[in-house]
Parts: sequence; structure tokens; C-alpha cells
Amino acid sequence: MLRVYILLALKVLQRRKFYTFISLFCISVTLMVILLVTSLVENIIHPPGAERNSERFLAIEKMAISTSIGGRNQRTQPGYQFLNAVIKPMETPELTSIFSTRSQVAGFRNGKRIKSQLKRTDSQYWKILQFDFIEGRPFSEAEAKQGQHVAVISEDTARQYFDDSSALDKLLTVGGESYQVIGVVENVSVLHWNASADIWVPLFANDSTAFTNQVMGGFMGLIMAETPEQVSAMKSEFNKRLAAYKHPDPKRWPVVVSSANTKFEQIARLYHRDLDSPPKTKELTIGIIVTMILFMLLPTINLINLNISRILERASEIGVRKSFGARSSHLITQFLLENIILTCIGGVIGFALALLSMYFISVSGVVPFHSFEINFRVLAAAISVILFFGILSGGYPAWKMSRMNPINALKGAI
Amino acid sequence: MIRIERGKKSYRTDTIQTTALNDVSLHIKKGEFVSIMGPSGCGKSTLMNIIGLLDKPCEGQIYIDDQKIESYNDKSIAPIRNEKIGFIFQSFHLINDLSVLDNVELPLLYRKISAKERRRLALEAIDKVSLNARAKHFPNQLSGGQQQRVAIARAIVGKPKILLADEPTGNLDSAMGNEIMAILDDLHKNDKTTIVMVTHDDEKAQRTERIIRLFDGQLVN
Repeated sequence: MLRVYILLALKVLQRRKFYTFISLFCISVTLMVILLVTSLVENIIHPPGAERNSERFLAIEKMAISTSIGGRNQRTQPGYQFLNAVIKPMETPELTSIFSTRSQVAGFRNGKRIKSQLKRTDSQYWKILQFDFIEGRPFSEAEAKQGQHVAVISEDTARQYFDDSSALDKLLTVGGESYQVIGVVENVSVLHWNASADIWVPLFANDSTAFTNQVMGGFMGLIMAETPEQVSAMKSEFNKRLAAYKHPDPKRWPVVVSSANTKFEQIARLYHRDLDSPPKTKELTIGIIVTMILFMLLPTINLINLNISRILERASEIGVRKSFGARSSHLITQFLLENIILTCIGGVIGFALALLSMYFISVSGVVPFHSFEINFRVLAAAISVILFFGILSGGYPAWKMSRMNPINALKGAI
Repeated sequence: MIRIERGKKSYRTDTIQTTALNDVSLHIKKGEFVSIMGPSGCGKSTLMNIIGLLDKPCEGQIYIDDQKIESYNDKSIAPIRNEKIGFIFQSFHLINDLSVLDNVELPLLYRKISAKERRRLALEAIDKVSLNARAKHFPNQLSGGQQQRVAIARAIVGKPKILLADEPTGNLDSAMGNEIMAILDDLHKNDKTTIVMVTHDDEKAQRTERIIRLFDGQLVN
């Protein structure tokens, strides 16, 4: 039976080439966009590369101080003083790191200005984030504490300053300071912003240590648990220590708010910036799902219409099948299967288009250093989309058709 | 084999009600070859549709193979259509995308039998209508007569007790029409199949055992 259904499905697709083209176009383009978006979201929430331990770490990237609860406030990145006071004494994390946010620095080569993003980090940063070293090593605890002028640079920065020759031990001058290159790492996508930079130097490589007294501004913290299960305990401890933290000027700024977030919570915070309330991860999840469903709905409705016309053309076949004992369920199965075959073909085309687009986006540098990946979760999303299309766009027409009166169907009078 | 007791069927539109069958009682015995005749619009097709369980009478009772038809829902009616009745239509109604063999196999798709057995039975039915050489052809590669023979093979592949033929020769020239009649005669004589045939052709009707005449939805003696 299956052989006959598949055979018939392929014949019908060949017979109505324009319908088939429109259907396949709808399915493949929608799937391509969904795959691109899913891959992008997936890549941010479960990043590969340097942030691959993201299930174990929390990031502290925003804080606010306020005159009273709900009163006038200042909101920015945390400062070194705050992070040092709150996260360094923590007991639940296996590792804690304080590092600066990216700042733009310029260097010159052959009279040409090269702009780079620089981060100042401690040594634990290299243990939490798993950079892939092409050559060399990260800076040690001693080098970080002593503020030695050493630097780890990205593959792209190495190429810009030193062409294809080894960058190790060479001197790199950026922002008026010179550093000895001790390591070269693979480029990090700008979307992995905990890790992303072009140049990393020790926190204290800067002559001024004034930043150590600043409560707010310019820094981020990472705290990493031994296992993903311990992350919530780590979060509780962070909240307790945060509650106990007092601003150096407590009369003026009695309220200090901040949060330690997972990757997904970090994204949720981008859209809902109120640090007082928990991150709206549920709302973000619902938002993503609803957007995707709405995005898929239009082509699905289009496909439903196409399928109804396509099925009505086959009224006589439906009449014959019913006359010879086909039940509605047989007909629904047949037409649903035909539609799933169509959507699977569209799925394969969409998948190929998505791979092509991912390649071109990666090569074009629209999202610097970002390389798309298709993993199990993205694949699962693709299969769900194909089934969504196949069942919804085929189900209703199949149901409608299965209820046709066989006499009318045989006459072709629907 | 087929019994209709006081069968009535009328169709209602917004403004008028048309009676297609009016108090028709009919008994067709097992193995009988019966033709139904009458002018256009007299209710022949309605009667056939009611016998074939494609349509439900407004009143009256139907018995197929001594089984009273109580319910017309899909679940109860589909197996009777599949196992006891075979249809032959005036315009063949073959599926052009399927080969002769696949067309003939169609009624067996709705039975729980293996693909191998389906193929064997289909080839046997094709052999009965002498189309073995055409089994892999498609309907549009065949003449009208050959197409109707395929339709007969499809109707008999499941070995139904009743064959319902709605003007089976209506779209064929006389030579092809005679071929089809010969096949029906053979099925009646050798397989003892009960055949009900609607026809306009008096000569063809004369070849059957009994002629049922309809006029204005009623039986005429």
C-alpha cells in the first residue's frame, strides 16, 4: 500500500509542476529561515568553542544602584570593586573571574590603522572559557597579578599584524602600550560576548589601578560551578552576597541590584532590562515559539489552499476509492502521506539552502567570526518544522476530502 | 442477494423537493443477471447508488447478502462495499497515474492481505479480462474497451458477490460493447456473480435474465 501511495504522490507532484514548485518554494524558504534563526539562537544559548562550558557558569554583566527601591538609579556594567567584593569570596563556584568589557584600541602597521577589541582579564578567565589555542598559552596567575605586558591575540589579529608568520614572542603595540604575544587563539564569534575580543591582556597590565576602587562600570564577572547541577546553589550564594553588599556610599545609594545569569538569561535580559525582577526566560521562550509559528503560518495557509485545489482535482479518484471500500481514515492517511513526502522533499531542499546560506553568511563576515553549526537540537527543530508543515497543510485538506460524498466525487461535482 | 423494501429517496433544494425513488421494493436473487432500464431521470442511477450503499434511502430497508443495512457510517458500510460489491462505471474511472496492475489492485489495498497475494489476485483478474500483456501499461495507453476491461478486472479482483455496472457499454462502440457484455455473461455464468446493470440499450438488456423498468422513480411491470 505504501509503495502505491508513494508512487502516486510522486506522480501527482510531477503532474502539477507549478503547484509543486510553489509548495516546495514555500516549504524550503521557510525551513531555511527557521534553520538559520534556530542555529543562531542555539549557538548563542548553547555556544560551542570558548564558551562551551556555559552550562556551568553564570555571568554578571549588569548592575544598578538606586537611591531607594524604585527610585532614581544608575545602571551600567559592574565595577571591579563590586565584583571583587561579591564574587571573589564566594564558596560555591569552582572558579571566579573578573575581566573588563571590550574596549576599542588602535595599532598601526605599515602606516595603516588597525582597530581591535581589547579585554583585560585575570588568569582564571582562561580556565572558565575554553579557548582553542593555535599556538602559545594563556597568561599565568603570576603574569596576571604582576601585570606583565603579555597578550593573547586572535588568529585574525595575528594575521593583521604579522601576516602568516608565527606571532609568538613578537611585540604588539596597541593603545600606546606594547605587549609580548604569548598565545594565539581561534577567532571567537561576536555573539559569544563573554569571550569575544581580539586581544586579551592581564588586568593589571595597566599602570593605573584606580579601577580597583570603582563600584560601577567597565567590568564583567564569571562564576563557574563544578557541575551544571550546582549552578542554582551558586546563584543563591551570589544573591545572598549581593544582599549583604554595601555600596561605599550607602546613604546615597542604599540599593544595589545585580544578577548572575545563564546564557539564556543573559539574552532575556537584553530585552527586559529590569534588574530587580528575574529574567523573563519563559516569556522569551514563548516569544520565540510564537514568532516561529506565526512565521510558518502564512506559508502553511498558502499550502492548505494549494492542497485543497490539488485534492479537488482528484475527486474521481476519491469517489472510486470510496466505492471500493476505502474508509475516511484510509484517504486521510494517503493524502497526509503524500503531503509529508512533499514537505520532506521541501525539507531536504530547505536544509541544503540553509547550509549554503550559513556558509555565505560565515564567509561574508556579516556576523564577525561567527560560524554556524547544525547540531542535534537544530536538526530536531528542522524535523519538527517539516512535520508541522506536512501535517497541518495536509491534514485539513485530507480531512475535508475524506468527507466527500462518493456520488458527487465520481461526478466531479464537489 | 439484494432486497429493497419500500425504498424512497428524494432530494430537497431550497425551493423544491424531487422524488427520485418512490416506494420501490425489489428482490434480486443470488446469481441473477438483471438490467435496469428507463428514461433519463427516472431514478436508475439513484437505485444503483442505493444498492451500492453509496447513497442512503430516506425511507425503507436494504438487505445486501441477507444482511440488513442498519447504519450508513463509514466504519460499517466501507467493509461491505469492499468485500461484497464491485462497481463498473460508464466512464471507467481509472486512476491515470497508476498502471493497469496497480489500478486493479486498488480494492485489495483496503483488505488485510499481503502485497504478494494482492499481486497474485490482480494478475488473476487481469487474466480473466485477457489483458495480461497490458498489465504494466497506463490507462491512457489503452483503448476505451480495454479501459473498461481493466475496470471490470478491478471490480472482480476482490471476488465480490455483486457486480453493479452503470451503463458499462455506454461509452463504447458496439464491438467493444459486445466484448464487455461477453465478459459480464461469463462472470454471471461461470462465477455465479449477481450482476445488476443499468443500460439504455434494449439489445444489451435483452441479454440479461430480467429487466427492471423504472419510470418517474417507480417500478413498471
